Amino acid sequence: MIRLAQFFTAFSVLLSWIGPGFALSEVEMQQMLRTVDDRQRNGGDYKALCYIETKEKGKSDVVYDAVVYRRDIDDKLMILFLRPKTEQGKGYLRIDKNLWMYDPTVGKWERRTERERIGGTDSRRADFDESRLAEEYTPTYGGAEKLGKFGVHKIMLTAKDGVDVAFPVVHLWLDQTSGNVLKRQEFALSGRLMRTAYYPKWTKLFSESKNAEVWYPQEIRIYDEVEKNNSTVVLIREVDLRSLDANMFTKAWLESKSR
Amino acid sequence: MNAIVTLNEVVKEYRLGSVVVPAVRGVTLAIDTGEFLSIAGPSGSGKTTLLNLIGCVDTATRGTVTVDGQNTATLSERALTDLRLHKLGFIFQSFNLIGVLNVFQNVEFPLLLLGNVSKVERTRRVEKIIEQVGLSEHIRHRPNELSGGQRQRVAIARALVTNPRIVLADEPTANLDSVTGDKIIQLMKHMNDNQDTTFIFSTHDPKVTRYADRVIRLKDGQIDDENGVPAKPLAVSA
Amino acid sequence: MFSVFFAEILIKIAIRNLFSAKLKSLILGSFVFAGTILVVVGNSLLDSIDDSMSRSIVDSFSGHIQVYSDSAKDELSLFGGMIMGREDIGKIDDFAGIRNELLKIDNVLSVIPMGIDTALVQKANTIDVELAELRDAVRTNNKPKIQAKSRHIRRIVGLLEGELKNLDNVARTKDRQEDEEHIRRAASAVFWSDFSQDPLAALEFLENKIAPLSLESQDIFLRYIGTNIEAFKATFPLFEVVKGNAVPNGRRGFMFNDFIYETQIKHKVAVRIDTIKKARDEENRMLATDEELQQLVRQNVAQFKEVAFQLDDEETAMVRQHLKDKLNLGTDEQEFSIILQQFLEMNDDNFSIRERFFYEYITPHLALYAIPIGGTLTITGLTRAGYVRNVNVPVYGTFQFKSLEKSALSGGQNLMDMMTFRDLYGFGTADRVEENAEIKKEFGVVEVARENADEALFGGEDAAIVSDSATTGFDEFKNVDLQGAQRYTQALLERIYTSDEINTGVALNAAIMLKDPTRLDETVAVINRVSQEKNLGIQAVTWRAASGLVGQFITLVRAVLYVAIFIIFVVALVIINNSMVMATLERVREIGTMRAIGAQRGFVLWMLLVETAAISLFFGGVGAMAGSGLVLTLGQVGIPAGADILVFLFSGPRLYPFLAPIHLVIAFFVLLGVSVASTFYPALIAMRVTPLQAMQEEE
Repeated sequence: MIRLAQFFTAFSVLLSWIGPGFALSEVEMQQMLRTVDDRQRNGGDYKALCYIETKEKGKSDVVYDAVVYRRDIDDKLMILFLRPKTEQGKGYLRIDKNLWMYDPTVGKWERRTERERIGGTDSRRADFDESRLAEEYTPTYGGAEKLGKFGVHKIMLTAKDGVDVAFPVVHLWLDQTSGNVLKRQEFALSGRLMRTAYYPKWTKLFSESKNAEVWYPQEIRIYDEVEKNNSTVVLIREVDLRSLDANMFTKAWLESKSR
Repeated sequence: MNAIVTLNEVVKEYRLGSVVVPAVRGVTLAIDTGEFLSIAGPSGSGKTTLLNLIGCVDTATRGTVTVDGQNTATLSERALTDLRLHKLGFIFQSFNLIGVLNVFQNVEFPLLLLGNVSKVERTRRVEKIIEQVGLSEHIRHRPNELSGGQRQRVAIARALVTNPRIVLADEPTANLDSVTGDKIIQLMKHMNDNQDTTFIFSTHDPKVTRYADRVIRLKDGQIDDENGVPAKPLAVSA
Repeated sequence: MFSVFFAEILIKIAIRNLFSAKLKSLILGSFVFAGTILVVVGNSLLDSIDDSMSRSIVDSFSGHIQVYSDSAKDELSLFGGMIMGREDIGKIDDFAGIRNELLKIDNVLSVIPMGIDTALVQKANTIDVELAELRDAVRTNNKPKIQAKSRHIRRIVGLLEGELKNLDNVARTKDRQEDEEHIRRAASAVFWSDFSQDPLAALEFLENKIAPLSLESQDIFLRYIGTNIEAFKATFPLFEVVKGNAVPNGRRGFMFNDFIYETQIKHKVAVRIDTIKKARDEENRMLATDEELQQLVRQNVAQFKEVAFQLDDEETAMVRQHLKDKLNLGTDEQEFSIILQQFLEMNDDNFSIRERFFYEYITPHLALYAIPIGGTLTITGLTRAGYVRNVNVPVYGTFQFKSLEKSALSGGQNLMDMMTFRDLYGFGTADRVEENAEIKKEFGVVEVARENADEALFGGEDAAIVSDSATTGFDEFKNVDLQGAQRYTQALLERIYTSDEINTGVALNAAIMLKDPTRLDETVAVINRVSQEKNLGIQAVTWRAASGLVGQFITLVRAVLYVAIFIIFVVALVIINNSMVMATLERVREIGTMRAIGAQRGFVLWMLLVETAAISLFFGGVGAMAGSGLVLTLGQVGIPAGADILVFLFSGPRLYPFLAPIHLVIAFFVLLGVSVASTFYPALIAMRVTPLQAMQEEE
């Protein structure tokens, strides 16, 4: 699921255009982003069990057990909360440009924006959705760096005109060896750093519909850079790539789950 | 010695910018108690300056001025003011009454300054002296309701009400017609005769000097003919 | 050397002098007079306003003292700070414990828990609301309702189509073309005849393609006080219910401030009509001449849709008929939109009739209030970082603070029960905290500090492993009952909390009422000392300090008044000084004469002092009497509160000022000071006058 990329192309291909110390051309960077996107995309449906934990200074921790559904062909996304019991049945549904939130305790659908903090955590819709980096952003190269013991390429992304994304400027640190995103920083239009996210564990799973592997990060750690003491951890515990019911991505389906 | 005022080699110079103008140039003089003395001379001869020195409103540049036994050069401004209040009376050429006060109040003013005269005593003394100068009818009038002569009478009353040792009058008749001036001088002479008060008045009018016991003539700041025989006093009509 | 003998002559001279220059004295005196009136009236008014405003604040919701955490980053500001953002005033973790400690202090009467916060409330699109109702009807298979709602939505689609056509064609982007296609489809007869075949699909289409085209939704920021409503009612004497009821004791619930309810929750067209009515009736303003009122009419005409969208076919027909019958507006051929716009185009001649018509024949078909009493308010709480949290809370009624109905300032706060407040602010209840802890334990996420995340996550030997996974799929609904949340919240709403339960837990601040309000400052000091000694972690401030800018308002106005008084007295001082200098120069001979006769310099100084003091005290005295008279008269008659802000300051529609004798004393000393100061320079000149100057003849 989440954004980090995977090559399903051969490892050797990867090496041919990632050479440590060499600046990447725009074409190469575009290719890298496409690879990141492609790796996480499944041709068919996608379902993942997630755990989200948010620490906020001076407040009780917020935790969620949720399931994420994706139908990448139609760009549809649905998030349904399973636990805790006050949040059960609450869900998000993205169709076209509409991001809906359903709250069964309120019995209402509400329109939300791209900047919606999912369930009040520091995660965004995009963290759970299909990766569309190549489509949404224009890259520039930021140099080769070390991140822990890994050699990484830093790539700076700017949102393309007219694309509605939560953050207009994004910096990525891509593992030179695997091409995976290891670190991601997101900035507001003003240039202010808003979030830093880490992707320390990547897993791949063979997809029959795609006839290739689908990659997903097992763990995402998000640090709020505005409220410095707040942080969110997302665990992607299990992924299921079997087809989902045709009528699932509708308000009626989401409502029915808690009725 | 019963001289009430003595001047010894008194010089008074005024500074006008960088120029030093001598007004009195070495005057030595003794004035006895009870004298009716005239200081005469033309304008600018130093009459007023001399009177001011005796009246303790000014101090000499050099020489000594002694008034009632006190050397004025050694006294503070405050002590000089005190001396004026207790020992001196003033009569001015322009009368110098306080316009906002009536006759009674004007005459009472120096008594109030004395500070230790009771109201009853003040009223008695003021009324008596006003009667003596002949203004009892005008006792509640304001100065601007009086003629020049009447005003000068008020001034005389004011000068005498404290029973001063010396009364100084600078050109007391200059602003009066000759008949009135004559009457004023006669009044002063009358007061001088009845009391033991020394009168010193300046004038440039020869007609006035004839009432004086003695005339000091000044010319260019010096005594011109001190040994000259004073004009014979005329009989005073009361 | 000044003696009683002097006094007599000095006063005589002074009075004579003043009368001899009447005009001058009068001019000087008028300044002193004006200044004194300002001192007496200004200060008395301010004292009275201060007094009434303190009632407005203390008896409405601040109490005499406010306490809050001593580790607060910002100062407590009951009316909101300078910025739209929220202050960080920390929190009181154990309110019950703090309350017990505070009640031990002898002057403390009661302690009320509070939490003031701002939340977002969405007023949804009419079309979204209607679609939600249609969806509801479809689910319950309520055929008549489906019919009615479909017709209504079709009307709205028709209106939207017309609107889209009217847009100029320059901005014809690809998106616009798509939008137009969607609208055409939704407006087509086929779409609606096929609706019943797959209503859910049709609904999805309308919700996702059509509704976004009409983005008239509106976010309202609501400031509310979370509190123990039962205790609040009992403690604050100005509280009174206007509409509906108070939240029943121990229940979760919300009460709107009536002012907000009438201005922000009410239908916008109605609010504008109300505003015009009030301006005409109470302020004698005319539509013909008042630009602001004309603007309101223009807005109503431009936004006729706010009415039109809410009327279905049947209602539209009814309103149309009434408009024709009662007001003779519109013909059968005219579109309803045009007739409605004609109706909303009000002027002075027809306003009263149309206002009545609006309330009699139109509002019964409208949702007059976006959130009706007895309805449910969905509050989206913003946590500090901008996280959102939704809570449903029943609206029981509206309230106001007695005699402050018209004041926007006192109308700024709504009321909410303490339990809901805690939920919204992010303080979980005990059972929620426990459940969360269990879930956390199950996953055991290790915390990684932000500072060394790079190294901790990617520095180790086993970092960033790429692993294979081989899941065979899972059933997310195993052992999960998704109706739990609904049951849980329903149970919360039905639950009745005891006062102890409400007091137990977090509060942000607390209001304290005192037995003896005059010992305010003393009690604040005692609380702060007790907090130190017992390590309570709270700080106490007076209501004035807690009300931020509003509390400082009086201080500010007083400062302005003092500046005005200062200026007027400086002018008086300069004028008196000048005229005394002139007078002194005119009186050089007289002063010289006095000096020659034997008056000391001190006498001259006193003479001038007595003269200015006589002016000051006489005219000041007259001014003080006039001022006192004015204040006392106003105290009988009252000053009407012309503007809404004044209602709050006056603690009611009229202010009845009272006279404080202290201001007469102040006026006396001010005048004395002015006399002495203005005499200083002329006295210097006068004292330099020598007796010689009496001898000199004027030329």
